[in-house]
Order: sequence, then structure tokens, then C-alpha cells
Amino acid sequence: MLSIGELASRIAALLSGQVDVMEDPPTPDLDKLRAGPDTKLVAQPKGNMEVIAMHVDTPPFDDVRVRQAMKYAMDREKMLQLVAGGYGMLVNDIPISSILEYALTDTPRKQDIAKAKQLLKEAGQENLSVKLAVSDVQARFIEIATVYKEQAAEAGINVELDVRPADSYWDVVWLKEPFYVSAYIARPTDAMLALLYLSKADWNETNWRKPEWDDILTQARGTLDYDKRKALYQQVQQQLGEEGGHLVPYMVQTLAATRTNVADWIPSGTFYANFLTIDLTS
Amino acid sequence: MRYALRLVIPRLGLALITLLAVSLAVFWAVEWLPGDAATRILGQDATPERAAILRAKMHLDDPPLTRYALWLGGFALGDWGESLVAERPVLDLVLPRLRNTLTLAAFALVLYVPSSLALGIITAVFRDRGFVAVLSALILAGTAMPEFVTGILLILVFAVALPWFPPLALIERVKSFPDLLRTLALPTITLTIAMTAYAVRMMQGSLVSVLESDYVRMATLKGLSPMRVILRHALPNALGPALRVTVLNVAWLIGGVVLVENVFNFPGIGQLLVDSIRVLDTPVVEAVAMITAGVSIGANLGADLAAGLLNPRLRAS
Repeated sequence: MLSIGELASRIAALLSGQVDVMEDPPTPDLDKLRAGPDTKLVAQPKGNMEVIAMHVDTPPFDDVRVRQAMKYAMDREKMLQLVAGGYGMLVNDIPISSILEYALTDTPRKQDIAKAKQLLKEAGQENLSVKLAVSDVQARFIEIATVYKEQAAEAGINVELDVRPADSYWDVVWLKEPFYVSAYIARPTDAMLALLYLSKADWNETNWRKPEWDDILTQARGTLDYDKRKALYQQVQQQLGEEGGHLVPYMVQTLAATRTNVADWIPSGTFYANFLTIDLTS
Repeated sequence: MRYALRLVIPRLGLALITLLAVSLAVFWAVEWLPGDAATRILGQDATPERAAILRAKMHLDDPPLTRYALWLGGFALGDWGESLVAERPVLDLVLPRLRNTLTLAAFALVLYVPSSLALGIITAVFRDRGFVAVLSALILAGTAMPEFVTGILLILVFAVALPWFPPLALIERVKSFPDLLRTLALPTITLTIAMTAYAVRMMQGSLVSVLESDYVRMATLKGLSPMRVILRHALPNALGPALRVTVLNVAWLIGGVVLVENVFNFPGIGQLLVDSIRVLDTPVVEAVAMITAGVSIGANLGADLAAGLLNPRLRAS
């Protein structure tokens, strides 16, 4: 197992057969690696979500209309194509995808520039200008920020990218800046909700602290009837999707590129590598 | 010999002071970076409680001055301390990396010295010929291109398009000497191109001015063979500037080739330094800084000695 810092060398090592498997290949190289002749792509549908977090208690994001305008400004379909090469599925502003138990199954919000502009006008923020903190600490971070900057510009929102060093990003930017890029690996619905949105959650990265919301989640956990429980879980997600501080356009599949001789293996889709089933035939 | 002692002894005192200053500067630079080793290791998992537990375990709660004094005291007595992150003696981490770096540096120097001497002499002696203009242009291109670009180009041509060499220099998996040659070929060539270009330019310049001087004309008129005139009379006087460049190159080979190491995924000391800075592992950063500073000081001292031995006028004064 090797950690190869330089992207070009990582791809060269795979192309020349010095390594057999490469996790998280960069989006621009996906087509080349899929086409082979010596390499192929394998995908795990359970994947990562890049998210953009807004602190709901910090101006200008303390106004729910501003948050909604930010959501309507995003073109999720295009985002998935440009940032992840189309390998993934759309989600709706909470990092929980519709394939999970208790998840919402709404169709993701469509880009609506007129609506975004109208919301900004109502909020008195027609010339909104915000600074988005980002870094190349993880794959696709710079890409999602760059694409969102362009999409937001269509709604008259000026997003200025604030590119920070990768080594101190989790320390200095994450949770602390009012507007930044973050990421999650798929988790069960309840675990994700509790991790990110309970008032006392350590990872409450949008500063979403609403006792009434906490109460409904607690109530959901204590409800024995499946349908009622599911309805309560969906209610808290609904509220987050509409009013919360997260922009979550998609869940990408966890991809890996391998040599063609690698069989019976897909990436684990978690932070932990799993090579229990891998077959190297020469 | 007296000359050598007169040069070396005061320099050693200066070297100690320099090392002390470097260690202090490095310590405060790491201290000044945001966060600490605990938050860097935990990353997104750094809740305040977990960071506090780890911080206590690493003794990061002690005041910085205490930690620096403890480190310096140990270091002076030959105890390099323990890595905060790996929880292993610093020496265990540094020595294998240093051995790798020295191996690669030796390979690069073995190729660098004859090629820059030969190219320097050829471009100076045949300076009026057309092929030298082409050669000089190539050499200039070598100087102009950043070494990691050269490295990636070499990988694309000689590892991917033509499968002659491995793209990654995984020296820790090498089993035999021919294997070692193959593994280190591309990084060695990359480093040599980066170093040779500048040294050749320096040598060519000084050798041309020496070749046009009166005493060389005198030697030629005396009927000495051109070979003897160049090697015995002209070259020693023209080596000074190239020697200076070589010293810089040696220091660079030990401490500054992290970009090349990165391209070839070579487990050298430069990568260790960058990785340790990333997690703010002060004892390892200090150890690598002391080694590279030491090499730099030593190489400069060596060059001054060599310049004196080559040039009798310096010895007398």
C-alpha cells in the first residue's frame, strides 16, 4: 500500500503496472482510465458527499431567504456532471441519499434563478457577496467551489473563493468559518442527523441549533410504529432541506481505477480500505 | 595543513552557532503555525475532548520554551527524542530516509561530476563551433525547466510510453544492484539535468576567460599539448565558480529535492520533512533541519578548503 502525493505519478504508476489499484482517480482522467486498454473503473454506489456549509446564525446566512436563494442558485445536475463526471446521484441539501432507510425521496431542487433573485430581493440582499473557504484537502473540493461560484453568479451572487492551505484546513476553517466546503461519507439516516444537526453535536457544522427540531428527532427515535417513525424522520429532514444551512448537490460513487487483471473487488465506500475479496490474475 | 586548520577551527564554532539559530527558528516557525500536532493528527475527528487527551499524552500542554529547552538538552547529548506522531525514536524514522537520500544523491553526483566537467570543457574549447550553440541551447532549456516537470516528462516517455523504467522509485523494495539501477534511473537523470545545466554554464564562462589569458597562451606557445594545457593549467583555475555551484547542488540534493521525491514517490528525507511539518511533529522537523543545515555548512567548508588547495594564491594570503 502506497501513498503517492503527485497525481501524475499516481496515474503513471497504474498505467505502467507498478500498482494494481488506485482509489479516488481524478475526474478529468476518468474517461481515459475507463477506456483502458490496461485499466478499468470500478464503482461502489455508496459514496461521498461534498457539502457547502453556511452558518445559520451568521449574517447574511441567518436570513432563511438568503439560504434558500443559495439553494435555488445551484444546478445540481450540471454540478454532478462537471465535478464528478456524472458518477453519482442527486441529493437534496442534506447529506442523506434517497437509497437509505427513512430517507426523503423528494426530487432534488431544480435551479431557479428567478426565484433566487426574488428571495434575495425580499431579504434586501440584491448585491450579495460572500467568501467561500475551500482547499485542495480532498478530491473535488476546489471543483465544487469553482462550479458553484459560476452558478451563483447567474443569480447575481458574488462568491469569492478563499483558498486555504490543506494541512490546517480541518483545524482552522472547518466549523469555524461561516461559509466553507466540507465532506461526508454516507452514514445511516439517524446517525447523520444526530452527528450534524443536534444542538449539542460536536460536528454541527452549520450551527443548526433548534430545540424543537431536537425534540422531533428524539420523538422519532422513541416511536415504535414504523410508519409514524419514518414520518417523523422525514419531517426533520424536510425542515433541514428547506431551511438548513447545507448545500448538498449529489452523492458521488466511490470510484477506483484498477488494472484489468484485478477481479472481485470494489472500493469499500468508507474511510477504511477493504481488500477481503480481491483477485489478481496475471 | 596549517591552512586547513586555520580555516576549519573558527568555522566549526560558527557552525554550532548557526545550528542553534536554525533550531530556534525552526521551533518557533512550527509553533507559530495554526493548530498543533493533536489537532493535525485528528483532522475532522478533532473534538475538543479528544484533542485534549492527545495533547496531554504528547506533553503539548507544557510551555513552548520548556519543550524547546528539553528538546535542545536532549539533542546536545545525542538523544534525538521521540516522534510525536509515530511514537518511535526520531532516529529510527530519520536514518532509513537519510540512507535513501544519500544513495540517490551519490547516484546523482556520480553522473553529475563527469557530465558537467566534460560538457563544460567541450562548450568552452569548441565555443566557436555550431554544435556548441545547439548544445548551449539544450543546456539552457535544462536550466529553465522546473525539475518536477522534467521528472514527469521522463516518466511519461520512459515509463509509460516505453516501459523501460518503473515510474515510482520504490527503493525499499529493491532486491539487487541491477534492480537498484533501474529503480533510481529516472530520478537520477532528473536531478542530474537540474544540477548540470547551471554548473556547465559557470564552468564554460570561467574556462573561456582563463583560456584567453596570457599564461595559457604562454603554455601553448611553449609547445605543450592542448590536453595538458587545458587539464593541468587552465582547468584548476576555472573550477572555482563551478565548485561553488556544486556545493549548492550537494546541499540541495540532501535538503531540497522534495519536489523530485514527490514525483517519483521516493522515500527520502525531503518527504519526511514535509510530512512532519504537515502534522507539526516538531522533533522530526528539527532533526531533519539539523541534518540539512549541517550538510550545507559542511559542504561550504569543504568547497572553501578545495578552492584553497586548487589555488595557491588563496593559501598564501
